[in-house]
Amino acid sequence: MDNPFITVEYWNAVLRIATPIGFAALGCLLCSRAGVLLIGVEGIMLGSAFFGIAGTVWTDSIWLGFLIGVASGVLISQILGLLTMRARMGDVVGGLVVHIGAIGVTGFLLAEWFSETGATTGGKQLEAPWPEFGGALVGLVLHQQPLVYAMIAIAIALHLSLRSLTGLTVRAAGESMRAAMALGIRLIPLRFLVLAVSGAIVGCGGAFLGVGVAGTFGQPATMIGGQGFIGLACVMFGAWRPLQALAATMIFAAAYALQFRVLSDDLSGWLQLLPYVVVLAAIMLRSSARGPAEEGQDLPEAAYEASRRRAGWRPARWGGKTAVAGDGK
Amino acid sequence: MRRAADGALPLIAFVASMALLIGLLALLGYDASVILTALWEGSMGSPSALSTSLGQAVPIILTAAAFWLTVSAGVFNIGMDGQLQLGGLATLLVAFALVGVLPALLVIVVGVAAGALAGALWSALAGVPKITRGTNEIVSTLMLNFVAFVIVGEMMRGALQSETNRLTPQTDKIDESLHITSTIGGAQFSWGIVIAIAFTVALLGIVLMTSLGLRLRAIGLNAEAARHAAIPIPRYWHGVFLCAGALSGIAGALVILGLRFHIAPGWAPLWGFQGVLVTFLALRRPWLIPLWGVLFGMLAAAGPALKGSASVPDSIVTVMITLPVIVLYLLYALQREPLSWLPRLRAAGPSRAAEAQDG
Repeated sequence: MDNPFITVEYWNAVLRIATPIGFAALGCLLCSRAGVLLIGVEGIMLGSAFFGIAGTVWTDSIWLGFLIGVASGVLISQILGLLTMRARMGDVVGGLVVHIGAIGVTGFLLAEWFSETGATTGGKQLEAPWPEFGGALVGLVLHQQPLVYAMIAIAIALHLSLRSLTGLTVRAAGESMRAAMALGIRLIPLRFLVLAVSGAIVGCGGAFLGVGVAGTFGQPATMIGGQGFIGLACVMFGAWRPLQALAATMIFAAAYALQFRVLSDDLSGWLQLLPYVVVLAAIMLRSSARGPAEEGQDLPEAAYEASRRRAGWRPARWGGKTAVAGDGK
Repeated sequence: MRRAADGALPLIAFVASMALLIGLLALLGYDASVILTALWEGSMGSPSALSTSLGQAVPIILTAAAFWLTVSAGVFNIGMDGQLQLGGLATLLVAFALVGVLPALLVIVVGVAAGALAGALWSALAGVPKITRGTNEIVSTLMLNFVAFVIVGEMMRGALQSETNRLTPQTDKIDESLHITSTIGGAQFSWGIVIAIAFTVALLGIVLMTSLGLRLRAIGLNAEAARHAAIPIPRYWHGVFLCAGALSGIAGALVILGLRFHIAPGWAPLWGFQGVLVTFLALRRPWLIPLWGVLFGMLAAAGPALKGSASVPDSIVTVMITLPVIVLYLLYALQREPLSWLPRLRAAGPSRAAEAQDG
């Protein structure tokens, strides 16, 4: 048997598998830097995978379907924001509720709009629109699905923008919410904005997984198969830095792709363990990296206070006429 | 007033979200009365339906108790599903190895103990790195879930594949003498529900009524303060991970001994996640965990009936158990700040000035 690591097909598969995980990792990373622990990542991916495929079926265009998937990712991220911040569930509770809710809602809509057994894009592919040239090795670098390049571009953009003034604002919210508020940063709108951008990035991953890799949507509970959480682990292993997280994604994807290379073997079933074990070993052994100091913490009461004050809300229960600080009278 | 509301709000949330969902289904063209009949028939309309409800409630109650324990201590162990499946696998192995060697009752006790041990060890695999190195336990327990699913699945397809039924992947059934069921009214009722409630009540008593439990909850409320009060947090967290894992493992054991009797595809749906939702509903009234567990078990049991007689996709059950949590937290938010959801309605003259000042 040839060495499975040095074939072009293997690395093509690795790139294809790395792309959804990479998008998930980049979305989680942006959220993390703003202090939001994105436990709902798989819920967002599941929703955008479903609507990506549904959109493809409705519009008969795979790219329009993909866009619908991304848009639904943004929508779900805003719902997640409402639950975690406005309903004050906190990142973990809200994320889990979105995760479980997405399984139920997509399963229901799948049976309602399509059939219990699943929906399919009918073999459409998100292939590169330019012609192949050169050999297979050139193709490995220059003839991938466009979203592979989009993922790398987003990673570089994140790397640069986290160093800009905007990035500093985002990072301040993750390191110390009170200090950020003291600088006049409005935490709640900032977090909603960051969630929207992350929702779009994670949504790209989910929609790509739906229309670009799987092509069908069958079992909601196993559709994502932990790839979103692997993305979350990539952020930790990549020390909360976009390019390192992307490198981590490639390592895990290489472990993931191996099970598809050794098909006929008795081992192939057990090889499913490999990506999870690699991820576990990676995050358990790497302890030097520290994430943003206030990642996953609830917003301080002062953030809600500020948002109420801006909206002209006054605490009716305690008299109603009490002037709120900052009213000027 | 506040305390009464704490108890009533989850119930209000549940009823409201059920009404909302059934109303939505009616709008979609389903017959609401047929849905209600199917829910009733599927969950407690017949002895066999009732036994399924109670059987499904067992793992939900125990995983909810396990999750509630970790949440009380300030950690999030969401690996109940993996711990449950490995616990079930351990029980199955013990049942195969010891049946006929030991008296049946002893095999059952050893089987449950083996399940608890397997669950506890699997949980410690996430707990030890969390406590010693600060590894995020949410991600590690989720990953361990997938590892456990693959292990159980491959054992089912490989070493434990039934000799008598080779067509589908499944294991042999355990010996009938090991079933912890009694036949009442023609249906097999699992004694697991009694064991599950006993364990849950014992756990609740320890956490809520002893000084040990008080220290544990102190960690969950404010770890920094607990540290200053000389509470050995690592030791408590190790205990919490082991106990939570053991409870989930026992859930797996009871499922094997009282509900499924063997491992086949789909033998353990994501009960752990249902336990998570039960915990959130019962967070302010933890003594109600068994009741919520039974209610969720009834919904889970009604799924096939919903699909069969009302032809509603059974994924709606997952929505039915998620929505109450969302509605409940919205009610909490309303209780806290009655009109913050409609902020602009209250914007009056002076606040414009405030806005200008802020901007």
